[in-house]
Amino acid sequence: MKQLLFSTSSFLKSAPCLAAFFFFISAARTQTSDTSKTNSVSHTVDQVNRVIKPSEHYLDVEIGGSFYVNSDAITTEFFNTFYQGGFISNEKKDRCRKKLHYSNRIGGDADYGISANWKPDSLFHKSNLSMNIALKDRFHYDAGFSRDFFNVVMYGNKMYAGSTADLGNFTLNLLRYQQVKVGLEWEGDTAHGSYGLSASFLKGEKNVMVDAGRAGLTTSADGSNIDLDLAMLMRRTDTSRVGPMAFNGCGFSTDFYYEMPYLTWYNEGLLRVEVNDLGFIRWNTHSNYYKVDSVYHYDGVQINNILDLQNNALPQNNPDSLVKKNIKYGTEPYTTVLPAVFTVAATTYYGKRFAWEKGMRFRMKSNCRPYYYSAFTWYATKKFSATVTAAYGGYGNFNAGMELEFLFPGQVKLHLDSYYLTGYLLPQKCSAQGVTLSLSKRF
Amino acid sequence: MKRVRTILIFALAVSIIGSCRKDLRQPQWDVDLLAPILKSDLDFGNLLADSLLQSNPDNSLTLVYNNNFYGLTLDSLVNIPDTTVANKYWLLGWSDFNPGDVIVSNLGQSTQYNISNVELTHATIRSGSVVMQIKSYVREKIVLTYQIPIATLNSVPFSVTVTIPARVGNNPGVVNISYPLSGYDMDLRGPQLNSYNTIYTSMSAKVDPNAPDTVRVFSTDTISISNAFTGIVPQYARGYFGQGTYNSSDTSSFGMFNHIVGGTLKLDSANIKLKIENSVGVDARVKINNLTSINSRTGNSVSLNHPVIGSPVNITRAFDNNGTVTPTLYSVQLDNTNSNIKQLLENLPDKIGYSVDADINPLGNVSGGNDFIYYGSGLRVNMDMQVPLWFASDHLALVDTLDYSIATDNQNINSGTLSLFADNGFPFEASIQLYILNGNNAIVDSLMPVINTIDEGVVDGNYIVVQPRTTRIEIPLSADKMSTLYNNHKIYVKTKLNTYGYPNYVKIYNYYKISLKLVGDIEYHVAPH
Repeated sequence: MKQLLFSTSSFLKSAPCLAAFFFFISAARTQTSDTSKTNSVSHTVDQVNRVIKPSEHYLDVEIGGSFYVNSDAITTEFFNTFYQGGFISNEKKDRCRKKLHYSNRIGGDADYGISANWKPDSLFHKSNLSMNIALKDRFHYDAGFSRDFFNVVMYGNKMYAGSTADLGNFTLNLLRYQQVKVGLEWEGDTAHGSYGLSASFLKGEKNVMVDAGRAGLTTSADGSNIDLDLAMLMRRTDTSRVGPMAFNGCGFSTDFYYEMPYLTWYNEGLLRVEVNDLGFIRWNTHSNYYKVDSVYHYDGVQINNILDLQNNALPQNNPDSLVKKNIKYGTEPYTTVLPAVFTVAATTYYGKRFAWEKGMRFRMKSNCRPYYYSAFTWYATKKFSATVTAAYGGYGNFNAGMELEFLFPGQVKLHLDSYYLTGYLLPQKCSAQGVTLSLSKRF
Repeated sequence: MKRVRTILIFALAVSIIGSCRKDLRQPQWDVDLLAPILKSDLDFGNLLADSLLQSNPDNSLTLVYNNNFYGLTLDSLVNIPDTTVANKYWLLGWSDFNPGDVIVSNLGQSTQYNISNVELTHATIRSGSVVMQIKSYVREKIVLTYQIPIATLNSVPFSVTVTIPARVGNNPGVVNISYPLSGYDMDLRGPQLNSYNTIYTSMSAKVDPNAPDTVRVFSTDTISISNAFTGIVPQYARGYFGQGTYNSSDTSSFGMFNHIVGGTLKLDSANIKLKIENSVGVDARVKINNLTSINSRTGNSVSLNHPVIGSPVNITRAFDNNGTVTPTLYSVQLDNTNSNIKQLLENLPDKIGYSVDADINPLGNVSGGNDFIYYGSGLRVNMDMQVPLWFASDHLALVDTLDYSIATDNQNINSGTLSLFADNGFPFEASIQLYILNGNNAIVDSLMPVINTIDEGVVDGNYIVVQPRTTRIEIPLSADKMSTLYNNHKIYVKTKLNTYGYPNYVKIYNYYKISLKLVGDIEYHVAPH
């Protein structure tokens, strides 16, 4: 938990990342978070209003970024205190503690970048073909942890005197990489669906992976002994090469979707099936691994001679039996499978002013549960639309939010959303926050 | 208008960015930790400082301690004072000298030094130097060679050559130089080898070969050399050291009971070998007039009663075999049966007072001037003590001061309780108190609660520990107490020992030990860096 939060916060505290993160937005079509409904909504806004597609050829350039963090246990208030610094009071910890289950999760994404979508009159002799390209910096993090893990880290081990704290089933995945993507889209009509395909080259910057399947911390009743039964695998990329320019691995990923129009009752609709980030990153030979499967016993730092206590000779940072025993470590390459996202969504249009989207999204290998969402959009004018959303699942529980789009003169569009307004409005009770901001211009 | 809108849009984006850029700090929180901190197994060797324990066949322990309280060493016997000798050489007048011409050659000078009543014939210099000031009234630069033929290093005589500037007006040319004499062997018998304490030097001078022209030397022209032998410490000296009586009455520190500040100690026995060791090549007669155990804390003094007190002891000279010295020894055994040595030690002295007379060469120069001494050797009186750890103690108070420092970054304990678990395998109970001292060594707080006694081990009828006994002492650490700990850097430890069944004696065996473990039940402030 601590490491996860630290790593997350260290990313977010990176000034260049933060600045760029809020200033740019990732290309909407590759959004992969809990909240990636931006894809279809923005698409339908264009379809319904027909305000941003006045010609058959165009070039859209978009910059922006998004972030979200969601959890089924860690409250927004707690996360913000941790991220922004300051004292985490027992009251704040208690409010998280009430939400804890035997197994808990936290996760999120942060992306920023620039993208372009080019639709000429004819591409490869096809008039309905467009091409897109994107350059993005991406960060994903997720963790699963037990109730006891949270208690030990945030409250200490005293409450487990005479018993064992189950810290096992702890997983952590921190992944940061840069992406260059090229894709093609075929625009359908009422009889044929639209579909798209893209391929990405990935430059791996950083990865930390921890899987502690077994971790039992036993504290004797009088505190004179502590035993740790630990089976853990940890991998992380070369720590001597850090920062956006670090090239610690490379990989490949692909995205594709199929969107099929349908008619229900008297309303038009779209059914969309989408897969994002299906790929991998191979990390280089300088990557570290630690494998532990042992029981450690700690009963204090050994002082061989009481006279050693003189002249500041108290041993420091030497927890005796806890260090360097039965640990296999070294360097070797390894492969990380990206947490691919599978989405199924259906959108129904009610006239030209309303649309209702229902969908389910699932993210693989990321401690994530299925994410169910519903979004109701009101196209107020040709230049403004608003959407309210409600969702359940993912890394958290119930969340509700809002999405706004403004079309300014000169074909400039501003998109702003947060699907976690409940987290901002009720930070002591809810457990999520996130913002997406993008600015696009059509040429 | 378009431009204004565009600016507004970007201003909105920038304001959102700005709102997210905060002066980020690290998170902090408190946790309740229950964990062992330190552990230690202490045997008797860990409890005593400056001591050497010796195991006996029955596994009991004996304390072996050596104390040297009197010494007559080289600096007392052969003290060479700093001495300055000034020589002035008058030159032959009204002569003209070409460049390179010798003005004076091998002009010798013998000087006999007064070294008390010591007559040295040979010496090897350990440290010291010759410091010279040379003045020349010659009207041209001269090259002067100064030699000490009787001082050789690897058979090469001491020799220095310096160039002295020409006089300017009435001011002479002056050079100040200093040369170390370390390692030089010096024959102090003079040119005829029949004297002592004599240093022979010689000087030669010539006109600088690079002088531009002939120089005329007048009868008033002189060359003067002032040489000083400073800081001379011999590594070895030989000669006749004279007859003399060295009376010494003084006190010497006695560290065996340094940490004891109170209480009663009763010893079963004590054996002390009083030794007089002569590693100097002189005959000596030593008389110990008085030997007293002094306890400065209580003011009590106990004088030794033994026939050696007041009786002169003749001790012959050491033997020198080409640098390997075999000292001569005189020793006398002091124990319970022939002295009150036990009472001397039970006085818990921190000083030994003594009065010793040492007569050197009481029979005169019987060695024919072959007395010798090496640096570090001397005439010494010491005590080799063997004290069986078979004793009884009542409130025997031991103290020590421990320095500590807790860096600001590590001051993370808010408050809590420390638990000291002690498995005591010694036949004595120990009451411990820890005092925090401020910068003026004044007590500002104490750590231990009122009940702070570690019980003695389980003892059988023979006063032998058959099983350790466990005691748990709680040490509450309030926030105020932690603050006091953080702000100071010394702890004064005071321990009182009571042996089981006092005044019966208990033996300490080499397998006795006390196992200590410190467990913290603390509120810890987590502040990642």
